[in-house]
Amino acid sequence: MLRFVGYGWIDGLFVDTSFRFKYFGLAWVQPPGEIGTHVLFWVLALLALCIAVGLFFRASAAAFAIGFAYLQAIDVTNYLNHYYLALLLGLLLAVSPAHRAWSLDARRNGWRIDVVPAAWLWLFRFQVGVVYTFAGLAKAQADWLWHAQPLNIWLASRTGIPILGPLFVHSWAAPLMSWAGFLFDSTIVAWLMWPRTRPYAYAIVIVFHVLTRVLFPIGMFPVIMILAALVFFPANWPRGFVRHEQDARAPTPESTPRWRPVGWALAGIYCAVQLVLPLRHLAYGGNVLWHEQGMRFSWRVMVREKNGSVTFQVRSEPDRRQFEVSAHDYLNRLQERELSGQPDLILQLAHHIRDDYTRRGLRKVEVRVDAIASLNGRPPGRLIDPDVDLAKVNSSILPARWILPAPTSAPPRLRAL
Amino acid sequence: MIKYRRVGFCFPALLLGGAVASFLGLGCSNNGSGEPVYTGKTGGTSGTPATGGVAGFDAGMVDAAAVPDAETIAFSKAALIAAIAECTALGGNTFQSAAQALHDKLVGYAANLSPEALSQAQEAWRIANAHWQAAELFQIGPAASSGRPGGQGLRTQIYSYPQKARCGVDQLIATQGYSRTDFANTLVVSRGLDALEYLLFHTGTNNACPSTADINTQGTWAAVSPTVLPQRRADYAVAAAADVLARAQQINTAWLPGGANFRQQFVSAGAGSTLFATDHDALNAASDAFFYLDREIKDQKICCAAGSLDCSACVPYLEAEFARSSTQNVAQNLRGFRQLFSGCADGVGLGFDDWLRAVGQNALADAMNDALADAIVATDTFTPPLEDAFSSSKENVGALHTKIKILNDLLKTQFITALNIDLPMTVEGDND
Repeated sequence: MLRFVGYGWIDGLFVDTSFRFKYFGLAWVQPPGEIGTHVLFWVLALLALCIAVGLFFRASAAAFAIGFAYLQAIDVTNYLNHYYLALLLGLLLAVSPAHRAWSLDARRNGWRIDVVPAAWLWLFRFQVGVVYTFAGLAKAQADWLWHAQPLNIWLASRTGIPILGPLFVHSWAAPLMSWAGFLFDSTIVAWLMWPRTRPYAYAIVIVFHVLTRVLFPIGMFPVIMILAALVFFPANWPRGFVRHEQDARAPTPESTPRWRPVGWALAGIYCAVQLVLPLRHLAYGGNVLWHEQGMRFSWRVMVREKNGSVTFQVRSEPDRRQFEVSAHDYLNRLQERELSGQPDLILQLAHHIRDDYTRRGLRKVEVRVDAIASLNGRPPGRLIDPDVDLAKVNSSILPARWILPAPTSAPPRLRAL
Repeated sequence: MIKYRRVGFCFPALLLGGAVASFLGLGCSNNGSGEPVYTGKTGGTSGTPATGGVAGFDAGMVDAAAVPDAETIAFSKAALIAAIAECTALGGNTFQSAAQALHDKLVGYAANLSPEALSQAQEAWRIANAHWQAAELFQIGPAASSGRPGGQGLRTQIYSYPQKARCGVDQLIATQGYSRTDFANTLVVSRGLDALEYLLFHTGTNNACPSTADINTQGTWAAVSPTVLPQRRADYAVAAAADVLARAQQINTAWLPGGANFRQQFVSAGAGSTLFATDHDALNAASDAFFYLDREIKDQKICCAAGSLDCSACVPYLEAEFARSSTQNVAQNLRGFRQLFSGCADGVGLGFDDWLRAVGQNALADAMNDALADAIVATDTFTPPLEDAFSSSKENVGALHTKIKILNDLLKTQFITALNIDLPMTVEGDND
């Protein structure tokens, strides 16, 4: 939150635009206005502080989760995997007993417990494990493993950074780091779970995430994962740093068997959703990095470099007037960049253009799009069928026939200088 | 107590084996010496127009190892940065000289108001404007907007397109506001090359303000007799030209040690520069200028796409309807693009296309040079003038628009991907 305030991103990302992209089913979510958005950020920052110190913990965490979800729902353009993770962790914290020790709430209320059901720890471990595992699965594809893309593209432009930069000139750098990233994401959970390898695995976690932070502008993601990975250590490890806590023993609280079946059921549903959601792209077939159906909420972290050029063609009948409309007539630069490779955003804007031109007095407005995109350095391919009138296409979770198949050529290898 | 199953080593071994296999299969991408090299340019373009599923795009990429190992110029990002700095300085100095000549001609015209002096002043404006139109593609550093590294927003002080305000100019004529000491602080649309075009080429006695404007309702404009009007326009033009000259000097000074010393910041990128942590950052900033092609040229100056049945919405974007140089402006813009992309000496010299070749993207460099050449030819041979074509020759405008779009599509897709260049952004934000 404070980073957004400090960098001045609130206006640029949330306020300075006349059009916002919506999640499917959430078109009714409206932004709070300029002042409201700034207030929301400060409120969320305050709630995060309350969570950290354990003050009115459950209410703070719940309010944070709701507020953060609302903030993200305002515009799809701002979706990032680690924002999604922050939301999920907020939700889990809101229902967890994490505030029952070492918190201001515990001090205020005189609570003292040393044990909580192990299921809570496993639930957090499951959540963090899901992130790593699916991030690894997302890398199990030809572009990443066999062609070292998009890392080849990214590292080739980072040869100027100190110490590491000169290494990226070598042809083995991108393949090595591609496989290292894949192996890390795919296996780190196992190494963290095994007590014998856990300390070393955690050291690798720190090195990996620090490295990604140095190389890429991924914000708080490395910090979140470095801290989140601590859940794989035994639950009582922090007590080892406080002498009086090592000897303290508190009475074990009575269990509440009445709520246990409900809790287990809810946890089971939550876990099932977290497992199924990232895999929904299988229902659409094709290359998810191209058609993007099932891309969000699937932990596909930094696995594609995609740039496109999109122009809308508006036609009205029966007077047969025809215009070319640029996306930047409605969008800020960030939105335009995100739109250029995401077909569902292209469809949303096409509908908005249809409605806008209808309001201007045109009748039977048709909207087609000239959209091309380059995926991981390939020559550009046509993304959307130019003959389809998107004004008549309804937003749907069903497979979109108006998205053309991905180019099948292999991505090129670039020399690093 | 949690029980763990011992992790077998078969799976990791298989993964490692696959990794080794992929390293061997991928092979080396550099030539034997490890130095990235390419065939030196002799000028003009090379390669054949590409064919494929999308017009203008190459169906297959050249493998980096296939780059001929001939006697060549070794490319480096530092050399490209230095070349851009030199080209920008050259363009800036050339424009400053032209702005000085324009000012001198206007002083002469204001002294006698002869038709010959007016003609000379108009020609001086055309020359200065032509140089500036090429410089529009070099909005780097001080000329760039204040949100960019080293940006001081000085471009807009010289040329404010697409912002235009003819009425503002007429208001200053009526009130003689151009003679005030704070003239340099008036709205940018009331100064600059755009205002000068209106002052020099609009010789009618009407004004561009609505009937409800003060100068019309209060009779201020009508009080300016037709014999006084040319003198006021001339005096105003002298003030505006002096301001343009001062801004040009300001830009050039900002590059030098006596000013903001932007040149040193630029060429020392990655080696002590406080503005650019790496050489890539400096080239990223320079590449922002290319996207003038997308908005200003394609969407505004040309505006009317192929197949459009109505180009009337493009008329407000007409750039120079009084001097009737809108087409020439676009031609000069494209030449500026070529200086930055292909080399400062009209396509010869170090440019971004050399960078593309150095990373193994020869086909892309050729495709972009070919598209650029096509666009320049189409603009040079375009008829009738854009000022008339929007209403009388929509098909011609659409054809020109298509030529520009081919180059623009390559720019926004493969070019920025191959060099990992960021689009010009007002807000960067996080990514993952």
